[in-house]
Amino acid sequence: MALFALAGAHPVLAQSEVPQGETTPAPATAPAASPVLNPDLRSGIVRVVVTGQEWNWKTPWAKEPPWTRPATGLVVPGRRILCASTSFGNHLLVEVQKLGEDARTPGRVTLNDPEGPLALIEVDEPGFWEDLEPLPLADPVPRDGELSVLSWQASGLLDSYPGTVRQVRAGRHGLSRTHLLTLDVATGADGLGSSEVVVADGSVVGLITGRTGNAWSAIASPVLSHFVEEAASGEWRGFPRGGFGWQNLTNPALRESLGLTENESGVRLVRVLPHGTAATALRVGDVILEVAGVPIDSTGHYEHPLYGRMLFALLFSDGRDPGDTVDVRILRDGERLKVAVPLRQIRAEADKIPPYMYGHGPDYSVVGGLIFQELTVPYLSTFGDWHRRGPPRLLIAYDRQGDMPSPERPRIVLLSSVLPDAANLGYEGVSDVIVERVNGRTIGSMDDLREAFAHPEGRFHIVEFLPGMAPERLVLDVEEAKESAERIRTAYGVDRLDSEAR
Amino acid sequence: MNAVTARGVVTLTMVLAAMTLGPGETEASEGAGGNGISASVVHVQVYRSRFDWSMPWRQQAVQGVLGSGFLIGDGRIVTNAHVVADARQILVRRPDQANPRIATVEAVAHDCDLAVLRVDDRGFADGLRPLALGELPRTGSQVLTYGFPLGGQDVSSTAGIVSRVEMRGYVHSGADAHLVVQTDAAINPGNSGGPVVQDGRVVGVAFQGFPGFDNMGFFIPIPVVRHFLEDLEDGTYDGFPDSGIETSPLLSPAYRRERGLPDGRSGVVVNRVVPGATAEGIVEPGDVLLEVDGHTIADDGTVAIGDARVTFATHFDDRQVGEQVRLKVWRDRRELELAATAVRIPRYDRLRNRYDVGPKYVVHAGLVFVPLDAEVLKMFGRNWAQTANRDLVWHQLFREAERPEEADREVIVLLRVLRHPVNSQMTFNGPVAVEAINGLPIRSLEDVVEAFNSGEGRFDEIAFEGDAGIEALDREKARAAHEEILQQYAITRDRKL
Repeated sequence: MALFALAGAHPVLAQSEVPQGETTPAPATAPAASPVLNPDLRSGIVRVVVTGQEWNWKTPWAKEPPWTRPATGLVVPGRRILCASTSFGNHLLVEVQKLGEDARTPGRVTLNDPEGPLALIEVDEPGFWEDLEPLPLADPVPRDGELSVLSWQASGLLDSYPGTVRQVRAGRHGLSRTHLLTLDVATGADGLGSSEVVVADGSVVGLITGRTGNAWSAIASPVLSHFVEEAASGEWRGFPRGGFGWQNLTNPALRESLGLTENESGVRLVRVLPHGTAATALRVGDVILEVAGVPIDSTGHYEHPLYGRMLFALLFSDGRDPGDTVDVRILRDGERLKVAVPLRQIRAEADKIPPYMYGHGPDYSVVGGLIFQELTVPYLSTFGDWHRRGPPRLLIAYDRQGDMPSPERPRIVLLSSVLPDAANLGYEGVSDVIVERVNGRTIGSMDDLREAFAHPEGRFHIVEFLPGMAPERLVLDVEEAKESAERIRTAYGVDRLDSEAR
Repeated sequence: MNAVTARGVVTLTMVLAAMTLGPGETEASEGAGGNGISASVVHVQVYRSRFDWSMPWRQQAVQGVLGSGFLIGDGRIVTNAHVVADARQILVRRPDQANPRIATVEAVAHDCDLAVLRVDDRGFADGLRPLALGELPRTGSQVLTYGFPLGGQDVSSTAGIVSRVEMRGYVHSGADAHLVVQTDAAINPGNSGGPVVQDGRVVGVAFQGFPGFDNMGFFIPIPVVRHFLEDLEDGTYDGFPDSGIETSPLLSPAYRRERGLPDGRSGVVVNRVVPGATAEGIVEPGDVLLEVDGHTIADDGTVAIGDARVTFATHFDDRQVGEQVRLKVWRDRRELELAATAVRIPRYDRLRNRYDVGPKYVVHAGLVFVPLDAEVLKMFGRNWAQTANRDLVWHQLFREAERPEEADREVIVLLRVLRHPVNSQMTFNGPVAVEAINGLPIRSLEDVVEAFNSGEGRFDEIAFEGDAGIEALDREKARAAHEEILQQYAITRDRKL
């Protein structure tokens, strides 16, 4: 079908400058800030000023305008500063500032795990640490009651806003896919999400990362303690994650048909990521009855001894490290089995469609004016509200976690757009098509693509796309493509036609 | 089937919302039939009842629709398909008479938005001159439109020029493209089905416009009208043939060289030929399509029609189903003359808006199953390709190209769950594709019925596509509850197959 009412289905839409999910704090204009801050707290809190710059994924050789954002840092043992790094993005410069002082001191991000997201900052200037004391981190966190949210005013003053605990739950923060212990805070303060410190009874209970519904969500202090302690002991191994999708078994007929007894409950796996924890011992169709000795209910919750009903994904990450083993009781093909599941973290780069990319730009290559790059969430984010606006075939690829077009290929490579030139005459409008083969070679990564373009079939490069994605096949003249390089560099300001070029 | 439906285009019937328009209210004089064009233009008033795809056992409330039509002889009246779609009562009135007459649909073509009506009253057309059909008008020439914009008693006519001729989506079907002519003559709601006239002959049928663009109306030009009328001559409407050739322009000099196409030759490169197509087994991927029925195809895929250039698909439109189409291709560096028998691809009906025929469905113990089609996806809104269940979107838009061996497969969707204690705790997060029931792969509604009848264990097991997992019903309880659910939800028939 050439056809369809998809006239507007591959539009070039307004671009979002901020990576999806990143929280950009709005100016704090909230009411009723209390100027009274317990002086003991002041010694444990610093202002962190982060300057960074994102890549432009539509023109992957170029960067977006730089930004500078404030965040709140928490002094932790070992002369480090802990920050929820939701807004760190691709940071270039991190500076720290003590309360009431104008001077900024350079800091170094020595660890940043976007699966928190949490970062540790070190400051080499010894004088900076004078008068600074780590604040106590609460463990457990309160399930209810009053608390204070500490938020910077534009003027540099620290305000304390009253709030209450809404709930303690398993939540995800920023672009992370790992469920962590989370404290939801109800407060009148606005524009939060930059690692604001939440305090109850003189102890820190969490760092705010963003909004969830009408509450603000904070990474709860037990997670912070665990992160700080593990990081201090040497190698940070990351947050382990289950890596599966599941369905509820609320329907009694379904439970019974699966062979569950009346006293049993659980959820059924419908997807197992090949590189996650679950893949080591679990498979689609398994009913998860218990994790770490804790029974799972038919909606995937369990009773946490301290915090009540919690999503069971937390049992694979909370207080645990990759390499630990968790016992999982399952029902498989009518048999009840206990399997020991070694926990694994899932690095963003291991996903077929990486959810975020930090520290390096897009892996791209421009050949004869055709821009090739891998399909990533940062690229999809250029479509704005991309879950509802992205090109339909790319959304399907994302939702199927890369099952399609083929599970063997580690990445999906796109021809994302074209820089019009004599060498690509006739292909000017091509965009967002999935590359299947170049010069007869199957493409599962940018390296495959580079290798394939190095081996043309005679005088021509032949590029074939996923069937149904116009133009399905295109041809470049090898010599013309070579000759176009200099023109394209000049005409479009592309200094490097390939991100791997030396 | 070819091309793309532009968004924002609307058909030009006038839906009677708060308008009262009592037929026969006024005492217009019953004068002698006029001799001009106007006298043969009729007022068409339709009462329609659309089916409800979200609750496929019921119909929607009656809606009044106003349009226009014109006499072509034998007492036959041409109008738009969208004027009479889902009609339950059609009233046709001569402009010189007060009393409307009941008309029936003799034939309707939803793929090209045309219909022929017949008035039961044999004397209806007495004294009226049937309008003769003309030819495709030239760009820049003057045309007159006739019809009943906003209803009204008398025929209204406006003049304009032919702005351009092109291939464009027909919004009524939502999935077909044929020739259209754009004009700046005022074409407004109510004009639908009225004739567009040049030199005393009909050159088109007014049918759609862009709201907000005053001087941009569209009419169906005469080649499409003739195709429809000729198609009907054997008593049945077969529709337009589908080339089934998926092509790309050959504007790249490098691509032309790679195909070895000599200078001076032009055409488009064939990417795929879809299963069941006119050209299946005849045209091959990699061929350069040079000519259709002797018409040279340019590198951008257009052919010359008069002084206009439109996509070559227009020449497949010229053919009736069953006729021969002559094709010339460039293959292995030489020219090849081919011939194919034009066929229509029935599965493309799934891509079209549906009219006149109600949805097929099966309700079992409150579970509502329907086949996947355009009407199901439209429930997700205008941007369904981005907002609907991704498996459904893949089946509708991408499966034919990616899995041609499954091109004709029907997909059955669990559309709704009508809650009752037997199913109330089933997980249902919106319409989802059904993979199997009781182990039987589901490829039709008949399969659904058979699967529920043939299950043997205590439970009916339903497997869905994608991440929706599985569900189950207690078979005996579900059967026992079936009738009660139908009654509670006011469903008189549990299936339409």
